[in-house]
Amino acid sequence: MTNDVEEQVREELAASAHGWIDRIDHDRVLTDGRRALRRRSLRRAAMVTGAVAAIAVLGWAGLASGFGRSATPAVIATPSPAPSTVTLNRATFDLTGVRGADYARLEVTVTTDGTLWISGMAADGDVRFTSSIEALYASTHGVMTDVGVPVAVGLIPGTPAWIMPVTTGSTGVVSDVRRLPAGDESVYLVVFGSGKAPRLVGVCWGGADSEVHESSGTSPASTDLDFDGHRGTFFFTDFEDVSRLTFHGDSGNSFSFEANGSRYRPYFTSEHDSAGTRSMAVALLPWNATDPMVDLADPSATWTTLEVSGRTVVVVSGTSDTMAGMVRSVSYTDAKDGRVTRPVR
Amino acid sequence: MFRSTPARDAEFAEFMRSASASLGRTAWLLTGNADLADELVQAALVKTYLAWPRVRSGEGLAYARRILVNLNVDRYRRSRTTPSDRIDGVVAGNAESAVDDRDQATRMMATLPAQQRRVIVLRYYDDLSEAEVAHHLGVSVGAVKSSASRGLAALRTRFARVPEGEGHDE
Repeated sequence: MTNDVEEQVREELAASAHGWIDRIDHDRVLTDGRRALRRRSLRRAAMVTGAVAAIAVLGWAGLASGFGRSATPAVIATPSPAPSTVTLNRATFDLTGVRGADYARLEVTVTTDGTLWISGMAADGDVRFTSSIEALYASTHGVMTDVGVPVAVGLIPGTPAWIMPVTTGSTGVVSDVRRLPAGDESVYLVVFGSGKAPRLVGVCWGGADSEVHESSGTSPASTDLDFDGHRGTFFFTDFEDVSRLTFHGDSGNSFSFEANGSRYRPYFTSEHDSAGTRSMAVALLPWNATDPMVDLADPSATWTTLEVSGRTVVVVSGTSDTMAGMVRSVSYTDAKDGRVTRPVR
Repeated sequence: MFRSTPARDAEFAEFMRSASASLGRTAWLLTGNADLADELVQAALVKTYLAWPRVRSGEGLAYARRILVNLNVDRYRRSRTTPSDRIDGVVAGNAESAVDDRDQATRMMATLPAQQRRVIVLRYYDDLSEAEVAHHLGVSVGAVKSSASRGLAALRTRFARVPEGEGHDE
């Protein structure tokens, strides 16, 4: 009877497993593995440094006592154990300004066993929820959680100059980054707009080396823009087989849009403040497009071009609220179609 | 100090190609949750990558599977001891109970206590000996026998209750 059941269990398990589709991203495993190796090496180097420092202190004290004098102040006996302070490897994010957040603060702690703890705190310091995950999971790819609004938390190496989440949707996101006190990592927090959150597909950041880095482990080529008051960096991101032209603006006005294939893609963005409206229209030209020209609707607008990873990007600067208010059309010469004019609707 | 090298990465990539589907199936049967299974395999492979110089030739799959099982045990314990159920898709409550109910086998497996489920999967899907299962789980052979026996007994009664074909059709 047992053998029958054993056989049935084997068959059922085999049948269930038969339909399994292997979705493991082998490149990501290698990227995560290399990153974990680097982190382990850094940790070991830090331990060696600490040990060397300890030996140096003890050695000096021993040497000093050998000469019959004290190298350090005498230790005063205390009736009770002296209080000790443990510094947690923790970053804290203030959520009081986040509409819909259930908590006043979010604490992210990385413990020495490689666990990342996320805690939601009330204003009085009460811990309202705590959860944990292996820090490796939350390394650059981030982990989604819900603090009343959807957020993503992740770790990135070093101290980034800026960070920019790339999502599947266009819902507004706010990001913040905090350096952890120990190690060589920073924690980032991405707060999504209320409602159904777009999916976080990756994170880009500017490193101390002035290069752009992606959570996929690559460093895409970038081109800086400094034109008519618009400053920032253009680059292509490549997450989940989708290429996006991405712009990180120094003023915080950043955007990213799909740029798959060799199609023409326009994009428009504007900022409003007390000084008025400052707008930027961007046109990504197809591969091999040459001789770009812009027919301006607003004579006060101005335009330029730049190369981003071999593709031409036209940038128009102006003060209109719409792209059509600044640009009538963009034209270029295409090797296959000849002269092409793209009117702005 | 160990550093990754192209030759090593190529060797590990070759191992991954041959092992990840097998690991994925085991993870799926252990958890009944495809996303969680993917995460476990991903993490197990990364840990195997870190230990690759110590992994003896031909034993990569066994090593990675042992890590995967241990990661799953850790997750299970953690999900039972932390008060939160707020992490989506990662440690959402008891992740091992989040089962795709389209599948009869995983649905019935989900009714077993976690340790019995692990033993049943390793013993009857991965076809490991009782001693190997004990080594994977860090328990005695007697504990494996006991868990297997209880698990089979529970499944026998459930198989008896499920008419032919039920559970495969929606």
